[in-house]
Formats: sequence, structure tokens, C-alpha cells
Amino acid sequence: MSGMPAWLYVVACIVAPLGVGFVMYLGFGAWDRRRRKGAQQAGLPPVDYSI
Amino acid sequence: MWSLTVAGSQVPILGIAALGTAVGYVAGMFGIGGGFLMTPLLIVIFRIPLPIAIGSGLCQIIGTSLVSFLRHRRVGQGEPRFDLLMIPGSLLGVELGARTLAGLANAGNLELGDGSIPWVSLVVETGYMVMLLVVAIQYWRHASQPSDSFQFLRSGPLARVRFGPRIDLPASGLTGVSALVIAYIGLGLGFLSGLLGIGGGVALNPVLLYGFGFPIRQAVGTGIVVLLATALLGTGVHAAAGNVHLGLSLVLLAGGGISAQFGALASKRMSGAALARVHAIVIVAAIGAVAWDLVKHLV
Repeated sequence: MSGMPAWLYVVACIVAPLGVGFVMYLGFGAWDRRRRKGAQQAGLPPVDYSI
Repeated sequence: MWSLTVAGSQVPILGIAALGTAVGYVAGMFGIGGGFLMTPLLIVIFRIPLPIAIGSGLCQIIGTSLVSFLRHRRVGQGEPRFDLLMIPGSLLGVELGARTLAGLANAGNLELGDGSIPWVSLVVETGYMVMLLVVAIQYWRHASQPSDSFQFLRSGPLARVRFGPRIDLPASGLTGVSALVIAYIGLGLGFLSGLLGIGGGVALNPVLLYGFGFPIRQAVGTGIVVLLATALLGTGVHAAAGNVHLGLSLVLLAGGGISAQFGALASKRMSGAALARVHAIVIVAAIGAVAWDLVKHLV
């Protein structure tokens, strides 16, 4: 495949998508938090029931 | 033009990324991995050899299923007992599926009139079409029912099978479900993964929703651990057989992982019935693509 030993290629085929998936999870988590925070800030302020 | 060399042929990276993006969007919309679309489209559009399309498709599913697993674990969706019972059978099924694929790949061609078709293409692609047709019919049939029955199906036919030891599934509100039925579903799902290179979400979701009567939120979260386990084992088995192209898998993963998030957001604006109907239409389109590939072998 790419000149590396066969066992190392098998390990790479498992570890590389796991690593990319984990980075995506962190990235999407941060993006989602920002999106929710932005939506909260854009919305109406909570009703103040105190007199 | 950037390209990858896959089995001696040049495949454009941008084309692969575009396919990954399109499939990822659809997969995110329906809460599945998208392997049922990815593998046949790699074969039909880019003429990638079937074993490599299957192995590389499974490899990219590792990344997408890890993201799903971590997200669902955080919100506590799914039925852990169901997952645990499926795992042993599914791991055995992956090995069986991969061996069957290897046997078919060495079985030569079937001569039909003027044309010939490799046995592996005939069996795998026919298997795809039958499985997808059954799933599409299930989605379409249930989308046509009143919304109440679509959302609140309880205790489906598989949940009423009284065979072998039985367990309760508290997260789904089901009691006395046959553990053997769940284990055999795991075996069948693993076999499909090893043979067809799909995660199996497209087959498992209707089984959970309509076969057992899972609530939709629990159905979406169930099976992801199994999906991850089968993708890990399946990738290992296929990589050892030289069927995984890592570059191809990573390009698909990069495109699909991002667009799946937008697909998931888009699905929130659709009703359950409309989503099921669109799902059925997408599946029928995939069947058409596979059928076209089979016909091309013969003309």
C-alpha cells in the first residue's frame, strides 16, 4: 500500500479515522456551544417577575 | 488536478470529497452512517473495485460512528442492554461477512449471453438492492400511517417473540424481550457490515422502530457502540486483506463529517413522516444506482 509494514498499515487504518473523528467531535462541540450561545444572546431577555 | 491512485486508477480528490459531503448531509439528516449510499456510489461513480470500496467505506465509518457515539453518550440516548447483547454476534458476523466477500472475490465470473458479471458484484449488489428495498418499503409504509402511530408505536412483533432467556429494556419501556432475537440481529448486522461495507444503521433503525417499537430517540442512540465495534473489527480484517485505501477513507470522512452536522440541523425542520418518505426516496435512488451498475456488466 504505502511501503510500511502490513501490521503498521492496519493500525494506521484504525487509529487515523479515530483521531479525525475525535478532532471532529471536539470541533463540532465547540461550534455547537457557540451557536447555542449566539441564539440565546439574540433572543429576548428573560422576563423579570420581581417587583 | 489532485488525485488519488486507487488500484492503479486515478480518482479525483475533489470528486471524492464532494461525494463524502453529499452522503454525509443525507446521513446526518436521517441519523445514520451513510455506508449504504457511500459504498455503491464509490463503485458506480468512481469505478473503485468492490472490495476496496467496502473496506474503505468501513474505515471512514470508524470516524463518523465515534462522533455519534460520543455525542449520544453525552445526552444519554440509546439502550445499553441491547447494545451489549448485539456485540458478540456482530463481531462474529463481521468475520463471516469478510470471509464470504473474499470467497466471492475469488469465485470468478458468471457468463450470461454476450456479457459476464463477477460473482462478487452479482451477489453483493443484489444483496444491497434486496436489503434497501425492504427498508424503503418499511419507511414508506409507516410514513403513510397517521402521525400518532408513527411516533408512538409500542411493542412491535419482534418484542413479542417469546424465545429463550428474556430481558427488560428499561430505557425503551419494553419488557420480556428475547435476548436470543437481539443476539441474532447482531449477527446479521455484523454479516452485512463485513460483506457490504455498511455500518448497518440503515437496516437496524427500522428493526428497532417497527420491529421492536422503540421510541425514535432511543432507536437513534441504540446500536452506535455496535456500529463502532463492527467498523473497527471490519476495518482491521479488510486492511489486513489489502482492501482499505486510507487516503480515500480520510477524504470521505473529512467531507462527510462536516456536512452531516448540517444535515442533522436540516432534519429538525421536517416532520417524522416527511423525513421517512424522503428517506425511502433516497434509498430507492441508491437501488437505481446499483441496478444500473449491474446492468452495465451485461450490455
